[in-house]
Amino acid sequence: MTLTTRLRPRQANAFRHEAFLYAGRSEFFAGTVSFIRDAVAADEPVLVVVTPAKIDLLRSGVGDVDSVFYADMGEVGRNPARIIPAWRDFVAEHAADGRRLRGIGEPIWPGRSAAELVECQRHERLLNVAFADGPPWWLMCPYDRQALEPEVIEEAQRSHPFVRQGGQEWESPAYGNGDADAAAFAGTLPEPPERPSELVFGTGQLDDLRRLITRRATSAGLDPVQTADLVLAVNEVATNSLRHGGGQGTVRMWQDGDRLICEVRDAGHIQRPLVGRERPSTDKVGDRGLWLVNQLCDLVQVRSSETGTVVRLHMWQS
Amino acid sequence: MFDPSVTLCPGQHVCCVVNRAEERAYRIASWTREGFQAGERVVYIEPRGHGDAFLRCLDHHGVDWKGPARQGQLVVCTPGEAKLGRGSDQDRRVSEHAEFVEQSLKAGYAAVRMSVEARVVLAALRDIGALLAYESRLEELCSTRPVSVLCFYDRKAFGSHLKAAAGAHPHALVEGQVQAWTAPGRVWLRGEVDISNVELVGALLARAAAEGGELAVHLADLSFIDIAGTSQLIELARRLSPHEQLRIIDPPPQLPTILQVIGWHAPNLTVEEVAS
Repeated sequence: MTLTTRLRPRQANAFRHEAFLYAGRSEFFAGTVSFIRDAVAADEPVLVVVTPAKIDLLRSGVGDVDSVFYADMGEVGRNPARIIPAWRDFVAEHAADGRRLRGIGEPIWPGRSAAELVECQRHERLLNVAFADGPPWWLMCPYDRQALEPEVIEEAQRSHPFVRQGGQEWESPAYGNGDADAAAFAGTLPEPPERPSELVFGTGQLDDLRRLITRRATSAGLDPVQTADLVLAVNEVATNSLRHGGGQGTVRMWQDGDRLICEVRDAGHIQRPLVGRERPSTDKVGDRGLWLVNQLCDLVQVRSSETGTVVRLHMWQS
Repeated sequence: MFDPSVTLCPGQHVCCVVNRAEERAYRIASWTREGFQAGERVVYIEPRGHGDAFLRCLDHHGVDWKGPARQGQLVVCTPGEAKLGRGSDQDRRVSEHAEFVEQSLKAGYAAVRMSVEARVVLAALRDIGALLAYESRLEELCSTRPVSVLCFYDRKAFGSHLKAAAGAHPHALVEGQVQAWTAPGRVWLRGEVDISNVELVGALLARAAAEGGELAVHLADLSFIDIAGTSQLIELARRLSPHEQLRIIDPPPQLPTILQVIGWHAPNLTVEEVAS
């Protein structure tokens, strides 16, 4: 690894986004521990965001080092739209003095649902947009090539400019972020498995909408805090429909196992790829809504084009 | 749907924004009934040619008006009779109102309550500035004499002027969804604040904050507030000078969530939860 690193030096002033394709626990351990040790040797702070079991594993391998930080991906990345802000916070806190940084982030694991997986993959592509202008830091994303489906590994090679496997690393020939801005919200979402309940809303009707969501969330078994969060989240998305989405929208709701899903559809068009993943500034009202929704919901799916916008909010019974 | 349990506060100057005819009819009928029950003289200003729409509305809601009308407790008059024509100036108009109040009190009524459709006053006075000036004179009257005034505002007819109009009243009831009561340095909100009423709530907050010092915003009866509503409070707090203070008391659960998630804070803002 040291050899190939020397042959292909990191671009000094760029973000390096690398997929680490490992097979099993021992390859994971070897690859990540040496990555962290190299960082410590180079005086580069490292943030490791993986499952708690892997945090324990790496702590035992690396020992207690002040410049190595750990976070639970199950918390940070439960909704993958919260991961970019976490990396931004880390970068803002530690790169101020021009120091280089490293990160290890494993957002995708076999237990992720189909909807979560899709959002994780969008997140991976958005990382290239979020850090396109620096600062120079190096993010390694482990993918378990034994446990994950081959298509997931193929997509990792398309979303990461660099790939590392078995002590080798190379520029990914499959990488192509294309028009990332256009792709951020492209595509459609699968239709609900059951016939959803539906409500069309317009100006002055959000109170009715809030009551409907409250009833539905309560009967779906969400606790009062989750219910209040979901009501607020749907209210803000619907408010965006009234402000920017043609003045009206349609809400659909259905249950998928232990998850309640609320969808808001309107005629608006969201164009900024990182909306909802950037801490809100004081002046952009719409941005605050999607930011808040990402913090309150367990999963958020946004699809938008010239023909309209769909925002799906998922809440899981706790 | 408006909340029919919301009653208006007698002895006040209320901006009532309605967009549904059924709500307006309900409000005017219960306001009249309450006036009769309290032994107050009730004045309703209606343009000529409305075919007694007001009286039919009272009939519809089962308010017995015939006795009070015979005895002079109920007075239905035209804008001209109420000296709202262009001929009279504000001073003369308001002094005639005051005179009427004195006569009514001498006749044994406990108070006078007056209701008017602001659109009708606007049509009589011809411009929004004159309407707002009239509103502020009415406010003086309400705060010095036993008078309450219920002003109906039609959202569509007032558009961008609605915010200024709402701010001319210490009390507002917006589409049955939110009630705001203000006094200098104090605000009480009841109901739900969202995009449909946030501008008007903001106007009343600004009114209560106008005198400076401490502003206490009581939210125990508020069941919902959105980001836009919370942002009104934050912006208000940020406009305060260093020695002033904005106290938010007993907020609904969304408010602390919004402050925390968006990362909003202001040095002179406090959020107080009073254990009940």
